[in-house]
Parts: sequence; structure tokens; C-alpha cells
Amino acid sequence: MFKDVLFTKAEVTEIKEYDDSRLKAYVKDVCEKADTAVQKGTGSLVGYDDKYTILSVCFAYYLSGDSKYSDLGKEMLFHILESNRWYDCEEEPCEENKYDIHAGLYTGHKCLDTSFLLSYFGEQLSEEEQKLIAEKLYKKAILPIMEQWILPNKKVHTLDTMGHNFWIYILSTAALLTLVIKDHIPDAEKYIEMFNKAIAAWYVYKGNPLNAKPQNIDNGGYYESTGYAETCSHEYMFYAYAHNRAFGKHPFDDSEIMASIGRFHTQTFYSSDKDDYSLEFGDCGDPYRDTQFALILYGLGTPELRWFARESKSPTCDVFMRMMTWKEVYTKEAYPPKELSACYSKIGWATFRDSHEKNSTMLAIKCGDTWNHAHADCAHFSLYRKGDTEIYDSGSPPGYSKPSYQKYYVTSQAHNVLLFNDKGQDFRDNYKNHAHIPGRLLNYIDDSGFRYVVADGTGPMGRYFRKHHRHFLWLDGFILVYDDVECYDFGKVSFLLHAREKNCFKMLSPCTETKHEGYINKSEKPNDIYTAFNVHTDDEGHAKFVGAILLDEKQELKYNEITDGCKITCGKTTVYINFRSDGKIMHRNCINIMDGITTDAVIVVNDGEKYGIVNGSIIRKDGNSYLDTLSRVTGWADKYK
Amino acid sequence: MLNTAFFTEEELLKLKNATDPELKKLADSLFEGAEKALENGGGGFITLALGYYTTGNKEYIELAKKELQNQLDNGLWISEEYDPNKYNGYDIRTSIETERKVGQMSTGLSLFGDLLSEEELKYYADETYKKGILPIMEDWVLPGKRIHALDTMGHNFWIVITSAVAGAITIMKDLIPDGEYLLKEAINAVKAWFEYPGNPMNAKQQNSDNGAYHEGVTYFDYSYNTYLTFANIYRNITGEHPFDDVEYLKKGLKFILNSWFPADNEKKDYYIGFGDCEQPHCSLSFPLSLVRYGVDNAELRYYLKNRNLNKKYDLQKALVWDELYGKEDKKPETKSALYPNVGWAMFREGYDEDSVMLAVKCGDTWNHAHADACHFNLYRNRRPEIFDTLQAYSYSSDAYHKYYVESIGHNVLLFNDKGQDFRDNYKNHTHCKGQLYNFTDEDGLRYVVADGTGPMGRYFRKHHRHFLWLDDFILIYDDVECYECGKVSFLLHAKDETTFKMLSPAWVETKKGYIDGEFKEENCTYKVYNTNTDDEGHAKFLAIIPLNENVEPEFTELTDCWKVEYNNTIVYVNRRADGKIAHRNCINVMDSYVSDAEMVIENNGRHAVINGSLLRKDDKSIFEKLSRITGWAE
Repeated sequence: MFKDVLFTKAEVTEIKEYDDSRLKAYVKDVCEKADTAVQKGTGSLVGYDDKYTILSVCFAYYLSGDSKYSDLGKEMLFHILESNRWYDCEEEPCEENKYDIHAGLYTGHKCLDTSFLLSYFGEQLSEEEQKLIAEKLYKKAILPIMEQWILPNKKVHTLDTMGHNFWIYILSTAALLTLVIKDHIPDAEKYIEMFNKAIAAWYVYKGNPLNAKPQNIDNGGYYESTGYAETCSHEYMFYAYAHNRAFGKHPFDDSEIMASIGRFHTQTFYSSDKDDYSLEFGDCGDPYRDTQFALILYGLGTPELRWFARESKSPTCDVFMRMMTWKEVYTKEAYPPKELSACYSKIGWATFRDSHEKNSTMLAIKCGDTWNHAHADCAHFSLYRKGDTEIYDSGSPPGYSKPSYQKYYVTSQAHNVLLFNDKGQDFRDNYKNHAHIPGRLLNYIDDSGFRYVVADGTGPMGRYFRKHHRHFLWLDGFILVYDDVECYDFGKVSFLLHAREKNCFKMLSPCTETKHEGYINKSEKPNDIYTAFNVHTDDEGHAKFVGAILLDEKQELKYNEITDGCKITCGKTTVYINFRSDGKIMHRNCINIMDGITTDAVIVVNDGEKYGIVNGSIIRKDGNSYLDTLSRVTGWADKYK
Repeated sequence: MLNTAFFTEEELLKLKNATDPELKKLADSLFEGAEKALENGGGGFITLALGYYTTGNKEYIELAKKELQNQLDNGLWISEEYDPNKYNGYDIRTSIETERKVGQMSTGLSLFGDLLSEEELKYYADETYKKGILPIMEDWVLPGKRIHALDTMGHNFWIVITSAVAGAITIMKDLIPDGEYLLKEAINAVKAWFEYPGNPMNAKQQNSDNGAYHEGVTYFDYSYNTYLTFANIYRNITGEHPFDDVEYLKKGLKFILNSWFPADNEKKDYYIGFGDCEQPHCSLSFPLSLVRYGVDNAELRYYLKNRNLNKKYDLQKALVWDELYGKEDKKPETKSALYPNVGWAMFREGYDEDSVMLAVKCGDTWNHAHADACHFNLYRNRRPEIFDTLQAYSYSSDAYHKYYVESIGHNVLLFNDKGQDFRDNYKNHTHCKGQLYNFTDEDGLRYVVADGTGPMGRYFRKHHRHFLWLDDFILIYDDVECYECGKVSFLLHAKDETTFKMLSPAWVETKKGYIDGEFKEENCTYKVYNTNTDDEGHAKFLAIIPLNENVEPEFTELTDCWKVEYNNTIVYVNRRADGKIAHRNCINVMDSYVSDAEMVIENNGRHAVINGSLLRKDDKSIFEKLSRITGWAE
């Protein structure tokens, strides 16, 4: 067996002897977890996500040498080996169902757990026992996974259909087990090479428009959620770390991809005094993330990751990893990312924030894919403020098989989006096979206090909307949310808002308001009330909403309707929205004159000193030209002089 | 001559003294035209100049003055649509009308300016500046004044109008205020048109997609030729190009050659007829301008030498005679091309007059680009066999708006008799345009899939149309998922003698439509093949175009599969690959083949897949990949 897959006795001793009260507290926590497991026996295993229980037992054994831990470890190993469920479907493969999914997540869990147990307790078994166990694991787990996922002339799956979190989790755990038992199975190194290639293929997969399948990693971002992004890197990094220890090299040239994944997790993390938060789009699961620790353990630590590791305070699931990486996290330089915003255009996520300090303000926008764990949430947004989620995503369900999941949590209704006649995206987008045209984020900019992106939800809502643009513009002290929609038919358009009772969102444009029941915090029963702001389309199918998030409560927001537009003032800043730019005008430019300002832009900003523009080519006032470009631009006007 | 914008006196002398019999014939005809202008009491400035500079007869000068005054006094200088009270006072003031006037006046002044008195020259120049040049510059180009943006008016209008004014300023630079400055700004505006990358917020397309233009061949020719008229003026006067334009022009030429179908014995041309396109053409105008500009190649010379060029291009042809006939030519060789941003693809056997060409369109809809997502044409036997209905001769007619630009005027799918929304064309684009994917032309496997989901998104969750050309047949496979259950219709505008055959079950209707520009009386019929969706909204069509009239296709239904046999080829269409299956792979067993591909091809012992990752036969692996590909398996 390949011993010491994650740590050696010497490394444990070093941790034990390091003189720091915080580290000692973590060691104590890990040992307590191991002791609890000893008390519960194999009852401490739940069948999934048992890795930290097992690793705690392994660690406690190396720390103390106490046989109660090794006895438990072996007991756990035989318990896992003897349990009957090796397949994700009910039956073992037979001719009739050989293309069903057999070797899946359950098989992966077994691979992961037995990898650790064999690595730390395997040598206490007899040679014969080791051989028999390895043969069983090869036959029941490794070979079925290889046959289902990668072996030529056997494989069932393809990246275009099953290339989501399943692929990387299952192959990484199987690769880890293969590595641990490599001396007991035939062709192990050849298999490891095959796993490495298939894993690398997952990370570089570019997507397939014919199957509406998005690219897996978009500059580190992953479309299924931050929770599943963790699934997609965490177990791989255990394997890669072990691979590096075994062979002195990474499974493939992964450093830049892993670093980008670290940046994605950092940029989607919200630091708060109250709790840890990770962006909640999709089935995000618990907000506690370990990837930063896994990256540091893997040797890819950066000051930003160390800062993230220090800031993510919850000990609930990451105490083992925190302990393992403590020395690097707390003895090396750490600081927050310099970038206060990020845009992952291929998966359709953007974040803006005023700082990375605790309890700051963060705006997050989603307009991308819908499928599996990515919800029907085109043009959705969340606001994190004062240490809490003020405008929120309804989050993850209590269970994927629960009625509320399909009925509510994944649907448009559970998100801060638009509906047409109470209807959102088609249920098949999520349940079945993607929104065939994903949402997009366009014109992302964060420049000297001008933060902007427009979410184009036309594709996912294409059954009802010819055009669905939602503009987010964050200026000094407030954020504007402007919806510009053109519907095929006349009807009601609703702007949904899921927010705390006390929130800083104000709908400025005229509308009616209704309240509706929703679900939150994994509830199975309605336990939330959300707001719908409603308008009717005009006689050409156009509808608009102008809303604002007032961040500076000392300021006052004023809204005035002007000819073919509106004017919003807040402090020194004035914003003009040009309703003539909504596409009604063809073969002419949509020039409007608002308070003496002549422009063809969608939005014009005056912050008291200078002008900004959203998708415009002209700003003129009083005979002066402030912007004149041949094609439209977005940003501060003086950048285009 | 005030300057040598169009030709030099030496060039005319050379024509006058031509010895090559063909060139002499052409030149004599031009000079005869000039003589007739004297008899008729007037003519175009170019014709009058030909007469004057080869005879010295001053009567031509008087006729030129008369024409200058006529241009000033008669006809529109501003757009006939212009209403100063509309569009906040920013209605379209200068347009195509102004562009024509400016072009005429500057041509006249270039050719006769130094034969006028100083007062006359000043008068005509001032009037042209005041009535045309300055208003155009103000509306389209000048900072602080400009009305238009490339994102709204950056289609053919922009390049035509800015090129014309740039040409006029080049000629009259020293006669008008701020000539240097205006020329610089005008050139910037012209250049910006070629460089424009598009703007998704306005659903606006880039202007040059590797040379292709989204408004179609006719408007490409109009746009490029107007630019080349200016560029030739600029080059003839300064010896330089206005900007680094050669790559744009070369790519544009390639687009035209890729769109060209050599047709009947009169050597009239067909071009891919997508959008508002005139057919058949005697010839396009920009190729000769390109030769004149010095950007030519052997393929362009082949094209020009093998066409009966319109007489109106005689002077251009005469001026490039040596270039055209003194150098070798070569038949084009490119047999397929993809322009993904405009959504055009073309495949052909060759450039012989009995060649076959397939053209596919799935891109933008707006203005001169029609509501034709997933549309296709087949050119065969020297003419369009499955055709585009082209354009009405009246853009204001009902037939144009209700038929020619609409989905029903094209070979596309409808849902419950409905196609793309009328606003896509008339108003402001289809916001999610069509796409072309997986273009392949390799060793006899020609394939592209048109994704019309965006344009038909009101009805279709998914709308894929696969085109597969193998040896001597073309398959067209539609795989559609509708939001609701209903009728899906496959429209076919084709000659009666077409070999097109619908293989999958469908009921057929015949409907009346328009063609050949007719806009008053319905003058053609088209076929409508109908099927109903299944209870999940899926519908499929499988059709074939046999290219060998002696071979009939065989069509068989297998479990979740359609099988087509033609000559030595078998194609399996895997109906499990239609998206019904989530979280599993759509592996099907078809005869002895196992595959997750949408189509499996057996061709003379070779195998290919369309969007597949595995192909096995009799427990032997032919092809295995971790992700799907399209192409030959071997």
C-alpha cells in the first residue's frame, strides 16, 4: 500500500510540537473528533462526506500511536468493504441496463474512504488480507469506474453528457485509490496515466454548443455553484497531492488552473462577523469552503489564499485542513485580493464589492447556464451587506428528491428575476437539458467608481421575451438596477425580490406590489415571503423597471420621470436613463435630450465632475461635447477622449 | 483635369491608340458614346470627359457646366424621408440622395474643374460643400455634431455615405474649408466601418466576418464598390491607400468567389441569394474596381474573364485591360467556407458549370438580412434548384414585408404555421441570432449544423438542422424540441424537377408564394411537409437530396433510429440523441453499431460520427473519445 498519502508521522510530530495555542486547539479538535468516532464505532460513518472523520482517526493514530484508532480504522475499512451498495443505481450492471449509471458517486465515496484507511492502516493487515482487499476494490470500484467512464470499448459516459461534478469527483477518487493500492493490482501505473488524462480533459473541456454544455472551468469559475466547484477540485487535490508525493510530479500541468480556482473561491467569498458566506447561486450547499486549504496543502498557497484561509473562520468542516495548513497560513504573508470585482463571462457570474473587509458590501449577478445544480436564474442578483445576505438567493434544497426542490428552489420564482405573466424559465431548462441559449453578461467594467455589467437573459427567457436586458450600475452610494424588456405578447412583467424585511432596495419606477410565499433555509414548507413588483407592457410589448439599492443611508434617492426617460439623483450624482434606447427606434439613432444633455446612450451619469455612459456614443451639453465616438462605449466619458 | 481621380490623359490616349482588337473595339464604343452625348446634348461627367480629353471639343465643357448646374438645381440633396420635427430633431437628413449628389458634383469638378473660371469653380465647390459635404460630415462623422452611430446606422448606409463624402473631399480638398481635417475624419469613419466588431447590446453584427457581410451579396457589392470608388480616387490622387485596407478587400473578394455559382450559357451569375439579393446578375461592380485598385489575383481574373460584364463597366474594364488579360488566371479552388459570425456556410463540388453547390444560412435577421434561420439553397444544373425567393422589387410592398423577408419565403421550419417574429426583420434584429457549428469538409465528409434556437426561441427550446453531404447525396436532419405540442412544418421552395425527397413520415401541402421580385400577384408555389410533435414536444424530419438521378434512397425505421442507404453509404440517425435523456448518455444500438453519436456513417468501409464520442461494432471499438467530435472515426 502507498503509505502516508496526506501526512507522515514526522509531519504529525512537527504539528504536535509546534508551540502555538491556536494550532494546539485545532489538534485537540481533530483528536476529539477521532475520539467521538471511536465511541460511535462504524456508526460514525454516514456513507458520504466521511473523509474528515476518517482522516481525524488516521491523524490521531499517528499522533498517539493508540491502537484504539487503528482498530477503528480497520473496522471502518471492513465495514465499507462489506456494505452492499457499490453502485449508484439499484442493480449491478447486466445486459439490459449496461448503459445506465453504475459506478458513480457512491463508488467514488468508497474509493476515497478506503484510500485513506488503507494508506494509514493497511500495513497492519496481513499480506494476504491486503491482496484480497485490493482485488475486491479493484473489481468492485476501480474497474467499474474505468469501464463506465474512460476505458475504450467499454466506456458509457462522455464529457458532453456526464462531464459535470460527477466526472471529476469519481475519477479523482478512483485515481487516488489506484495510487494507494498500486502495488496490488495489475497495470496500476497505466491506469493512473489514463485517469490523469481523463482528469486533465475535464479541466480543459471547452463545452459543446450542440449539447448546450458549458465549459467546465471559466478562469477558475464553475457553473454548478461554489459548493460543487469545491467538489470539483477538493478530491482532485487530495489525489494530486498524493500523486506528487508518490511520483514527484503533478498528475498534469495543473498549477495555473488550480490557482484560478483558488481565485474564484476567494472572489466569491464574503467575509462577515456573523458567518462565512460563499456566493449562493445554484445548489451551493453549506458555505464552508476547504479549497483554499487544499490548495495551500498542495503547495499553491498565495497571500490571497492565506488571507482567505484566515478569514474563513468556521471550524465546522475544515478543522482538519486548517490544522494541516496552519503553519503556512499563519506564518506567511497574507492579504486580500487587490481586485474588487470579477466577471466569469462564460458561466455568467459577476461580483462587485467595495472591499474585502468584513461586513462590506458585495453585489453578485448571475446570468449563465441552467442545468442540474445551476438554477433557472437568468439575470438574478444577490446583495451581501453588513455581514448578511440582504437580498438573497433562496439557496439549496433540503434534499434533491424533495418536492420543494423541483417545485421551488431551482425555479425562477425562487430568484430575483423577471417573470412574464407569472412564468419564468421552462422547467426543462433545469431538469432536463439546459437552457439551450444561456444568459450572458456584457460590458463588464469596474473603473474608478464606475461598476457596471448588463445581464442579457434573452436566451433563457426567449419563450416570452424578445429582449431581456438587466443593467447593474454601482455608483457612489447606490446601485441602480434597470430592466429593459421587450415581450412577444402583451402582459404582466414581474420583478421578484427576495430580501430581508429591512433592506435597502427601492423600486423607483411606477408599479404595483404583491407578496408571495416562498421557501428558504432548506425548509420543506413555505417559510418566506417575497415581493413581486408588477407592470404591464406597453402596446408594443415593452416593459421597464428602475430600482435602486441605497447603500448610503444618509443619502436620499430622488426619482423623476422626464420625457422618454427618467432621472435619478443621489448626493452629487445624477443618472439619466434614456427610454428611447429600448430598441423601438430603427434606422435612426435614439438620441434623447434630458436636462439639456443630448445623448444616444442607454444611461448617462454625472457625478458632479464628470460624465459616464452606458452603451452610448454621444454626450453633449450647452454646446460642449463630452463624448463623441463612432461606436458605442461604456465607462467614464473622459477615457474616450 | 483638376486632378487624376478617375484616369489620366495618358490613359485615355492609350485607349485612343489601342491596337489590341478587342480593346480597340471596347475603346471605340466608349468614344462613340461620348460623341452621342454631344448629339444628345448631355451625358454623364465621365462620358463627357472621355469626349473632351480625346477630342479637345469645348462643347463638352459647356455640357459639363450644364450638368453641374443641373445637379445643383434638380433632384434631392436631403433624404426624402427627412422630417425635422421627428426623432427629437435628429431624423435622417443626409442619406443616399445626398451621397449621390456629392458624388456627381465632385466627379464633375474633378474632370472639368480646371476648365471652369475661378468664379465658377468656387461657386460649384461652395454649393457642394454647403449642400452636401458639410451636412453629411455633420450627420455621420464630425465630433460634436454627429447623429449616427455604427451601432444603429452602421450597415450599408454608413460605408456608402462616408465613402462618397470622403471621395468628394479628396477631390475638392483645396476648394473647401478645413479640407485636410475633414478628409482625415472621413477616412476614420470609413475605416471604423470595416473594423466594427459588432455590439451585442444592440444585437448588431460585425461588418466584416472574414470578408462576409451580413446583408447579403448585393449589399456587399454596393458597400464595397462605393468604398473602392473612393479608395481609387484617393490612390489615383495621392498614390496611397486611405488606410490599411488590403486584407479587408482580399477577404471580401474571397467571400464573393465563395458565394458565386457560374450559371447559364449567357454567363449570367448566380450568387448565394440570402437576404435582399438581385438575381441573376450580369456581374457585380466591385471586382473590376478591385483590379483597378491593384488588389487582384489570378482567381479574380478568372472570374472576370469568364463573365459577360455589364456594359456600364466598359471604361473600368478598358482601364484594367492589361492587368486583366496580360496576366494568368486560375479557377478558384476553395470548395467550402464557413462565416460563423454572419452564419453563412457553403459547400460545392467545384466551379464548373455543372457543379453542385449547397448554401446554408443561420445568422442575423435585420434590414436586408431576412428571417431565415436554418435556411438552405441548392444550386445545380446551372441554376438554383432549391432556392431563396430573393427580394421584392418594391421594399414598400405588402409582399415584401409579408413574404419575401419572412420565414415563409425561405426553406425553414415553422411551428403551428408561425416563423420568426416580424420584429426581427422589420425592427431590431433577432436578439439571439442563429449559429452554425461543427463545420467540416474533410475527405468527402461535408457537414454543418444550423442552430436556429435563438431566432425561433418563442416556439422552440431547441432547433438543430444538420446538413450532411456525402458523395452523391445530401441529408437534412431536423431535430426540434418545442415548448408546446403542435404542428411543425418544413418549407421547401424548389423547382418542380428537384430530386429532394422527404424520407420521414409527413403530410404535404402546396402553398402559393412569390418569386423573381414579383410583388403584386402570387407567382409560384412551395411545398410544406408537416408533422406533429410527440407528447414531449419533439419533432424530427429527415430528408435527402439525391445527386445521382439513377439511385433511389432506401429508408428504414429501426428502434430509436432512422437508417438511410444510398449507393455505398449507410447513415444511421440516432433519435435517442435528441436531448430527451438527461444524466445518462444516449447510447443506441443500431444494427450492429453501438454509438452515442447523433449520426453514424458507414461509407465505403470508412466510418464517421456526428457529435459522438464512441462507435463500436460487433464488440470492436472503431472510435473512442472522452468528449464528442464530428468527423471520420478512423
